Amino acid sequence: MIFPYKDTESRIHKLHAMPKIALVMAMFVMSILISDIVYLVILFLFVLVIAATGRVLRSTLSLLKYGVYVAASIFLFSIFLTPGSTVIFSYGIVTIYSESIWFAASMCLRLFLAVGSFSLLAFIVHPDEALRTMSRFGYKTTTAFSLSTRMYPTIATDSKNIMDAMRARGVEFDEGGALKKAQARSPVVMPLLMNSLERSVGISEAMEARGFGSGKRTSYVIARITPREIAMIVCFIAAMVFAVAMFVIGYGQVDYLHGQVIRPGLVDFEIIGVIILLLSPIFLGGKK
Amino acid sequence: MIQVDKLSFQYVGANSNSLNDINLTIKEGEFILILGRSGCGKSTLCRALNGLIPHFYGGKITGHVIVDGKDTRDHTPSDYANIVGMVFQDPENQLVMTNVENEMAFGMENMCVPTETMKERVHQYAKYLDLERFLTRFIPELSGGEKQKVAMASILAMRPKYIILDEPTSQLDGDNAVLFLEFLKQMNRELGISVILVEHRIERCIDFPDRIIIMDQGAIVKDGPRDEMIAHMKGMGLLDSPESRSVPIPEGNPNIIEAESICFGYESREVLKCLGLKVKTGELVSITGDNGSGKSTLMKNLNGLLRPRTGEVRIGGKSISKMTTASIARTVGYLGQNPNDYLFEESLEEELKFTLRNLKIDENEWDERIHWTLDILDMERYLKRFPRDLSCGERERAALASILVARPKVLILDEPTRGLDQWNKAKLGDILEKLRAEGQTTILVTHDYRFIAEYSSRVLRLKNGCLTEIPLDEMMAIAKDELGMV
Repeated sequence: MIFPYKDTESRIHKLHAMPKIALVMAMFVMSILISDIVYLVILFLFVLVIAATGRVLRSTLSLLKYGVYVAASIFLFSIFLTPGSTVIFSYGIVTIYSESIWFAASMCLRLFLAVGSFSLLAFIVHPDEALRTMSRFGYKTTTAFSLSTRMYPTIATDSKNIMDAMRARGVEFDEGGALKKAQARSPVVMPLLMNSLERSVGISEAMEARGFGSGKRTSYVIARITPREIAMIVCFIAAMVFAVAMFVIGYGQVDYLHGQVIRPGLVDFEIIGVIILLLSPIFLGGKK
Repeated sequence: MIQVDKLSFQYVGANSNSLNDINLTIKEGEFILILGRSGCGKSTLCRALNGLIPHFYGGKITGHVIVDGKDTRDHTPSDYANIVGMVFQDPENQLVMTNVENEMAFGMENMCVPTETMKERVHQYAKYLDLERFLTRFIPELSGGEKQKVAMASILAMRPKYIILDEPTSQLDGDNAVLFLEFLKQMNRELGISVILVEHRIERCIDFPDRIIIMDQGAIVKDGPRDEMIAHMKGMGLLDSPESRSVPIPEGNPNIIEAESICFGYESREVLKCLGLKVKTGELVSITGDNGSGKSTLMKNLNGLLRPRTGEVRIGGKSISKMTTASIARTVGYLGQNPNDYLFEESLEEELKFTLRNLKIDENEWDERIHWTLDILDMERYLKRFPRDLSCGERERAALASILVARPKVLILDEPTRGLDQWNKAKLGDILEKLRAEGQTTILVTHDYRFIAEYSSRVLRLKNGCLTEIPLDEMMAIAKDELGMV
């Protein structure tokens, strides 16, 4: 089935969508704020543990596999284009500084943390539930986000059909090296984009004709949120607020480009310990 | 009652009006069929009846549409959501949720219907449309016909007084289309819901309406009770009896394409079972069959997009098992169901050059090939036009041009008449005849019995993974029987 959501009946899947969304938001905010590699590594491992508990580790890792290509380009750009003072390698015009390496590693970890967090959203929150939950708050943006998950199978089918059409017009997708293959795939993007745009106009028209956006809505599925789930949301928001506060004070951020190096102190481990502790209730799961 | 009073409308950026001075009254309980060429304003009129025009599209509007006393200029589409329901042509573009019961509830949720009432209605309409066993099914896994039923059930559950359907049967095979239309009639009769149906397949739906409206160039040219209108439509040539234009193929023509004992399946489902097919040069072979019978799968096996598990496909006597689809494309041209998958360049000329470049055709031949293709498809005036700006029928021909420019020996067309009006279909038929006169071999897949009966030199039915021949006179009888509803 071409669909990101995995219905695994894990204890995390049984939770109401709200705490799962709150957790992902908290992780995402942290991936933007934090640059300290130690914090990032621990948080990333934490995401993988959640994925394993939700029995979506394999899917998360395969999604992260695509992130590796983006991370590789970030890494290359960062190490060649960012300045530093401690030379660790030099050949001709190429000079690599240790500061650039640390900076690049931090950027890549942030990317992995963000992608990992959002893959949790895609794999453990049912899109219908996400749409219902998100449409209560700032429905236009959140609904667009939720619908993008819903449209995933359609876009995947479109992409396959367009590739078939291109093959029928003589495009060889599997010939030559990686660069040639990538070049051959480039014409697929335009019709895919155009089809998706036309489809999105169609779907928004149909939604409007069915009264979406007229104001308050009722819910077909009454997924009552339990006190335990409310407590979880409070914990996750507290983790986010705490991380932001620590960031303002100066923890979790390292300016690698200006020679700062990782020297995690006891306080850093205490801070990350508190954040992890506040996020850990996710493992209690739900009883739905 | 819906009252349309001197309505004219122009889309943003358009040079002329899409609707011109429309006056119309729709009473509760009526079943109305709206006919007309592609681009004549049928869909625009439908969108004006629930306020999507002007609120969703913008544009310039004069005149008024009053629905149950509410002027659409003063009320948004959501104010009409439970008065006027709309079922669009492509179910893929209107299904929002991923599971059937959630989809059926979506509109009711927007209307703040209490949860218990929603549950009752979901079960009531699921039963009414025989969707009970699908309630928890994942929508992307349903067939086109099932998706269209879900779209219909979702609208019905909102209990509108009027239902507008914009070509709802375009993706259904003959039997499913008739079942769907019979259901509409039953709903109209039993529940008193007004039905406003836009359809191109006149023969399918002519038996159902009480009233028929014919539109042309944004205006209503004729409006009257069904019986009166049928006489008028016969006068216009819209209900002509089909006539075979089939030309016998000389016995001595060699086989250009041969499929020998091919088997193919998806996971555990066997679709093609030791199927055999031989097509002679110059033939126009039509393949028909129910939705999901494997027609498209068979076509993709013939041009290498799919590879048979066992058996062999030969083109001009040569096996294609070791050839890539791109290299087969020089000999076998394949046009899939959606012309939009083929169109992305900024002009039609560039679109054709894209194919020629990929197939490594000598550049000295490009001009001659492009002009030959556009001439035979009557598209020369669109050489510099952005293909996506063309109308539905023209897009189909533009996509066909992108394949035909390679001058393949065999042309495979998958549902080429889908979404085409009577006039565009006749145009396509003429093109296929012209190509056949030049020795072109064509294999087409369609549900359109009339088209098959008129243009095919041979008709095959795919059922249970095997092909059986339908004699041409029997096919003509089937097509006439479909028209015989008149």
